[in-house]
Amino acid sequence: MPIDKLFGTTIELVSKNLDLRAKNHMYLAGNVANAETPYYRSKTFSFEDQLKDAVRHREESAAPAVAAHPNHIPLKGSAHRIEDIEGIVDESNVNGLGRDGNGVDLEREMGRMAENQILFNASVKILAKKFEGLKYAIKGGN
Amino acid sequence: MDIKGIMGNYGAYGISGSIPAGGSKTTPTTSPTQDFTKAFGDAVSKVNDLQNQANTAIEQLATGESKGLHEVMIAMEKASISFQFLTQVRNKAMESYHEIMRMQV
Amino acid sequence: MDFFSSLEISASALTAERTRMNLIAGNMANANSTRTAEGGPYKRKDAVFTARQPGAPTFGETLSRFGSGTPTGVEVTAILEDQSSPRLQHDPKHPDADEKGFVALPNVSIIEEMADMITASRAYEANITAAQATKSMAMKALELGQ
Repeated sequence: MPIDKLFGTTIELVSKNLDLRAKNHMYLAGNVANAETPYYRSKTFSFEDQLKDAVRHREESAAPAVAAHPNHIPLKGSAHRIEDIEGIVDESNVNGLGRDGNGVDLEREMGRMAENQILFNASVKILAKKFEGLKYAIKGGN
Repeated sequence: MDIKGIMGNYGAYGISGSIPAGGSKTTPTTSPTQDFTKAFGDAVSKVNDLQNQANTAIEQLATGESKGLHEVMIAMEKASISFQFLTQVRNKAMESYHEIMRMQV
Repeated sequence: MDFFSSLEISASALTAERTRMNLIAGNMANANSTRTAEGGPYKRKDAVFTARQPGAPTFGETLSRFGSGTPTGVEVTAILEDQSSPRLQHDPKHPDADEKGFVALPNVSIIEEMADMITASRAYEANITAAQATKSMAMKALELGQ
């Protein structure tokens, strides 16, 4: 019985999205916590480009790319499978203006946190709906 | 042009009777079974299309290409409702089929 | 990824900001104290923030966490006294006036302390919002099965 095929790639994509957004929230909380620390540089966590690559790669070729030898280190940033996506952490390399050299823009971090939270909640709802649809199909509609 | 000749040709295809002046309408000659199959098949493919559209919308939201949250929710709801509708139609069809088979002649 | 590290980070920031508020309140209360237990006028106190998760045992572990880009909380690592010279005010009738008639008042500027207070309370509110966002996301994840 193909149990794994039950959950198609959309469910995989959305769960990975949830993981990455939770991690993003941690980085944003760290930035907000250090809004008053002198000489602190804000960190950004980005993953949407990697997701786009993985989705496009999945559509183009049916077979996933396999490393030629198990000891080959895969190129960073070119994840072909959705579950391998890690996300990239960027640290800004300029000290902030102001007396204490702090580089955190509090309003922007709060805005990003709100957006992250909304998209996280949306992904949770989408995943819940998908599971509900699967359960309905299995039950046969009664 | 020899109209009678044309009519004769048409006669060979099984369509009889004179052609009315204002254009013709061919009567369907398909059987009811084919109609139902075709209709059901169309519905299934339409539901499949809606599901695929919903999946595409979800992908675009996840990769950040489109920020249209409401579009994604609407597409998902459409797909879900149409699927539930199709399931219920199928259930009712099965039920009526069983009902008919149970009828004693 | 877990949500509880996010809560720890926000909680560490709340503690640090509260410490800073306490120091500011102490500074403002003692803005005119000319006598202290150590002698001399009151010296303004300031907190030193460091980006580090509280409870990190060794410097090596903290450094490795820094290198990998893991998000960190904030901790008050030291409370320093401001060593700038006290304000001198000419008031010969004051009990603590020196032989020239000048009184050494604390080096606390009320306006600066007010500005610091506003910043500290803004940072506190921002971290409260962050903690609430963490909680709401974690609770939402519980709804996955419904």
